Amino acid sequence: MTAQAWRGGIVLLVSVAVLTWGVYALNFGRIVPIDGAQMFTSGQLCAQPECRDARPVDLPYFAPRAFDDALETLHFRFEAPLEALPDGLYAVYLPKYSDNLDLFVNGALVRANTLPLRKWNTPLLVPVPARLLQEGPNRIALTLYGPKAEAPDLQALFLGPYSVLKPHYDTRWFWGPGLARFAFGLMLLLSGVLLLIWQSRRAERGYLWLGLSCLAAVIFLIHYAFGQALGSYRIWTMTWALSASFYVLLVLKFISSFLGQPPSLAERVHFFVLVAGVVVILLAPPGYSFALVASVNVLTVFPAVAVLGVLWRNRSALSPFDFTVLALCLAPSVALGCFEVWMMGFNTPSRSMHLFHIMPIIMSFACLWLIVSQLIASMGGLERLTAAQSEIIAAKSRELEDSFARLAEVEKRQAISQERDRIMLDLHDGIGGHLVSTLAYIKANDLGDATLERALEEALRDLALMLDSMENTDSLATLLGMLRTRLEGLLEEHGLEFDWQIHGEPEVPVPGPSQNLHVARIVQEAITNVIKHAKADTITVYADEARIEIADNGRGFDQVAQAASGQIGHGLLGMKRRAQALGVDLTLRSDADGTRVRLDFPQEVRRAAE
Amino acid sequence: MRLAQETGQDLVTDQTVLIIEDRPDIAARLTEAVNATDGITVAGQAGTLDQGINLLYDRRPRVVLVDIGLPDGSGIDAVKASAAADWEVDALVVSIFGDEARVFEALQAGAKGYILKSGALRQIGDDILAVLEGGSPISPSIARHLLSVLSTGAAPKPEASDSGLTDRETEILRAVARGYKRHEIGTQLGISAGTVGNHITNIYRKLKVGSNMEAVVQATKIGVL
Repeated sequence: MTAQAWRGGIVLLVSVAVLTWGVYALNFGRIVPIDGAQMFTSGQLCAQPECRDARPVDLPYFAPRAFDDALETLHFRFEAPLEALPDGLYAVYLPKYSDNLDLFVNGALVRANTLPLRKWNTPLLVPVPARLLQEGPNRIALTLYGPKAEAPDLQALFLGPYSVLKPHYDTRWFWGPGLARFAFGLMLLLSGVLLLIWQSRRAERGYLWLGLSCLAAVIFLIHYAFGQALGSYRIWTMTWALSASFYVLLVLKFISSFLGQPPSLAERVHFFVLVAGVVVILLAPPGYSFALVASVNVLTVFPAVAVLGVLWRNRSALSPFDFTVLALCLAPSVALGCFEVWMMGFNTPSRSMHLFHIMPIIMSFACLWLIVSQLIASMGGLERLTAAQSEIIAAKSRELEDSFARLAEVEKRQAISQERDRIMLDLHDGIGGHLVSTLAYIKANDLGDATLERALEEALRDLALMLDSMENTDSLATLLGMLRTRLEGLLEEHGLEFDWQIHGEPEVPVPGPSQNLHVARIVQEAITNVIKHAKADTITVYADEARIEIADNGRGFDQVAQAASGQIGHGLLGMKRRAQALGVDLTLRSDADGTRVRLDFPQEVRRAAE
Repeated sequence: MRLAQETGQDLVTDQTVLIIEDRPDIAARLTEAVNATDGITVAGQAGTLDQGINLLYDRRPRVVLVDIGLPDGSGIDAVKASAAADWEVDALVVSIFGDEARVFEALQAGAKGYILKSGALRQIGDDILAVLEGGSPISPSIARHLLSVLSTGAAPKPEASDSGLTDRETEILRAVARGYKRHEIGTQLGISAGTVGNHITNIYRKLKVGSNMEAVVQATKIGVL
């Protein structure tokens, strides 16, 4: 154990001791004089029922303890002088006596005992008819019955008007058997509910322990609430007194299981003490039963403090608020237990009111709070889970929608693609086939019409370019590559060759197949212009992201002169028009070293479009 | 039909070429182009698929030029027959423009590439010779298509694998897609033009491997990829 744990334990013990002392010091339910009523704090104890020998005694009187399960019978006599005959109903009020009694007023029996009921913590209010009273001396006699082993006692009693004594009686009855009966009902209900819950949730042992603890409380509360003895003196004393001890064991088990702790040493020791106690009580003479159960209950104080210890050690497992609630309930409960044990063991100085029956109420509140708090926490968890799941569902729904949309898009594209393929196939096999066939025919038969041949070849090239642009909708670089493949033969025929320098994918301002086709046509036009006019031997085609450039090492031409003479070719005009439509800058520079056509793609326009 | 003997070429050294083409003018032009090239000679010419496959087994040519659109069927079947033949024979698809979808189908069926019938005569002969040297004719458009199909789902790997491209193969395909010729790529990468051709042959082979490739090609056709 660490120093901190020791400190914690000491703090616990001290706080329990302080609380116990507090309960003791408060002396709740102490018997004080009542205005308008006579209080008897002294009387006579008679040796015989007819009271031939009597000795004065002071109240409270405690019979000497004896290890005997027989019933003690004590005869008391009190002198009650009355100055005047009362008007209304009178009453004798006994706040505390044990266990049962007969009451006589001026020799008349006004209350017969209710044995075998043991009214050890129940006040008694006996109405006394005015006709039984007289002016001058009156005699109240009572015969007290109680087990010798438990030291029957009689506390101060009162004689006075019924109306004056009734409220005091009611208050005391409420705090005594009244509250005990309430606790009894509550515990009975809780044990039923908790055991039912446990039935459907066997894995959660906490409900079992708590339900059983309530059941144990029900047993000892019978003793506090009704004074009903079930079974012989030995059996009942053992049952009710040890059920309190058993209660502590079960609460300890509940706390451990709630905190997810393995059974502690305290639990095991306590269990063996209980079993040993039962064996010893059953073997010992019945007169020793009460002394023995009292001893066991003294030992129970330690496991009860252990409950607090377990709680303290595992406080991090609880929310600060839960811990506070539990500690605030557990500590007074332990204190009440200690106080009760003390009352069982000692008669003097007396504290006349038992309070132990309040303990189960406080404890149940604490334990139920824990369960409710756990429930709230798990409900929160459930809500979070539900929210998370809703989110997942929403996300999945979105995905599903997206994929539906994609599917629709794919279907659309598929339809377009199929249609495109059909048209392309028609162009390819139909027009293309005819053109190639015709060209082959002209060449094979040597018909020799160069113009016709050139026209057919150009038509074929143009068709090829169109088909290529449709095949390569997303890459201008590849389209340029195809263009090279198409024109390579033509170049070769004219003794030209390409200096091919495609360094990147040109980014047309507005991308698309027809835009690509326009660009490719410009490039093709520039290349065929070189073939036709430039008298060069190399055509350099350069491309990167921002531009395309077609340059030759031919003789060049005078633009100004050409423009002035109106000789500027249709090809050149077409190129310019196309470039303008595309939003591309076309620059033409020509000098003695050759001609250079340059297409610049404005990058910011494209970026803005994206 | 002009047989090898009539061209006066040496039968022992000349490689034989079978032409399956239904348009007589184009067939004549192809024949002319083949015979005009040293080292190859036409071994036969067929105008239908049926005739073509018969001639294939009859003449056992080294190279078959196949037009895909034949009157009695698809030239792809002739490509398949060549791929399954028990002697060494390379099938080349004859195409007017090299249309992607059909060339692709032919490549999958085992074609070594395609030749353009609209191209210059010398080009046709050179393409056939390139095939005989172990290379495979390829167009920028096909290269780009191969890039998208074979790179799908698999990052480029340094070592060769059944499917998926090596870094070198990706490099070569990129260059082809931009219009660079085999010898230019060789110069750029510091390897011979023949090696570039061998790489392309390897890439074509990858097209034929898994049936999952079929799905990828299919997906490409419908525009998913």
